[in-house]
Amino acid sequence: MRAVLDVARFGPQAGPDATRVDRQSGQSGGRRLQRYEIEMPEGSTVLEALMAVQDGLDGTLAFRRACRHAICGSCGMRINGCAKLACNTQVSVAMGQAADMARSPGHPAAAAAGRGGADFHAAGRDGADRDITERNDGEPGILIEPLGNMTVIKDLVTDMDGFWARLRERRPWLFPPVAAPGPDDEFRVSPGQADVLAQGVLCLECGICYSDCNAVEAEPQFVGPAALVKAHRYSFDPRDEAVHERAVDLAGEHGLWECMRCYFCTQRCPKHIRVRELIAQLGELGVREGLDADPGARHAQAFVDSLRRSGRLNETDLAVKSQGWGWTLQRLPLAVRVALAGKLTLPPRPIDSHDALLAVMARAEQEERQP
Amino acid sequence: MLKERYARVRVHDKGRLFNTDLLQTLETGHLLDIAECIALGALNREESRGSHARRDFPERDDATWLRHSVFTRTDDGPACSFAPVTITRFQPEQRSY
Repeated sequence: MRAVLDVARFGPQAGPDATRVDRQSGQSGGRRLQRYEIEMPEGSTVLEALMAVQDGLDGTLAFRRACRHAICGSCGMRINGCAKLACNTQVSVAMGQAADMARSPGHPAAAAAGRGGADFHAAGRDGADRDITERNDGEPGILIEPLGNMTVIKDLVTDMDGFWARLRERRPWLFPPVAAPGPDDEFRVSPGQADVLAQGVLCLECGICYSDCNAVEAEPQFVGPAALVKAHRYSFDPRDEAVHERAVDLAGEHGLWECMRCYFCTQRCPKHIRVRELIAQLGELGVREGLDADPGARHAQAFVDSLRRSGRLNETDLAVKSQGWGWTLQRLPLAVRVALAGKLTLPPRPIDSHDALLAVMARAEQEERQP
Repeated sequence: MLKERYARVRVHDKGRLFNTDLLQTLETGHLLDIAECIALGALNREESRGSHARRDFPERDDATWLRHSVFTRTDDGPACSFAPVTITRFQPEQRSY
């Protein structure tokens, strides 16, 4: 089976053009695509192909790897535009995907690849988005790039300091209860309580969710999905006593309410952690802790209020409740234009079966409260 | 012999930055050193113990071999000597499954 790899090279070993760093963003701008073609046994992973390239074709190619079976989280990289573990990705699947992308530039995967491809355009290729066939002069290859939202050190190796700092700042350890049990006692955690933590403990800290997080891309100070998974794992531990402190930290600026709910983290996670659901639970926990001042928290609450009142979404009310009167009045000209377009509605009349909806909401709340 | 081949080893990547080629080359040299020590120790140790299993000496022999093998680097390759084992809380005993 032939593996064709188009690898983004960065650093002096990849030529004089491949060392430029964008002074504004700190991102590497001067990457160069290098094509490697190598014969691999059926069933090989992209990581095995990269290791074969390093062993047999080009010793200067740099990437991180250790365990080779999706437990260490070292070999995160963008493969055909999506962050993945290279050890967890089959060459045959990635080659098929590359061929699909080449055939149909409108394919969602091609659009995702265009996001990574933008860096190459910045390096001096012309600005317009190009499809994969054109970029590769014919035969489609697997596009392999370093993780996003990080500065590249060399080739596929990125500087993960910012990622680690965000994890550390969430204080990812247990703060045991002040009234510790006696020397012969154990902290009891029921199977049900442990189930709540079952997803969070799977996190490999590979940086894949952080790489493709749209909120981090828009606001580099945003805490990011992995750090929120960590916070969830400890804040929902019945033995932990720092729940409020962590909630305060996460309710503030660049905290959990900056998540834009694109679900990329949930889609990308190699351990299938439902990241966005954990973030939602953290948001709820924060509101329960009385931390409901953030526009994000008020926005979520306004949805619930609106449904409770009428079963419909009162969008006028939503803006005022989320952002406050001051913010809304400052945007009065916009409000007038919205009103003239017929989009500013009066409080809607309740839906016919509003009582049934209220019963469903009450039942859902009851279910969620049960640990 | 692998060590003779290793003496002619070449590093492809001459860079000073994240040079995994150099790292792996150094690691290979260390692996060869350790492999030689393991082989020498296994030849000396005329018994079987855990994953060290010899057909010619299938039994564990605590009287002679309850001791550490210690290797030092010399011009003629690794030299093997022995050191006593300090036993504290757990008494060593035969493991049988």
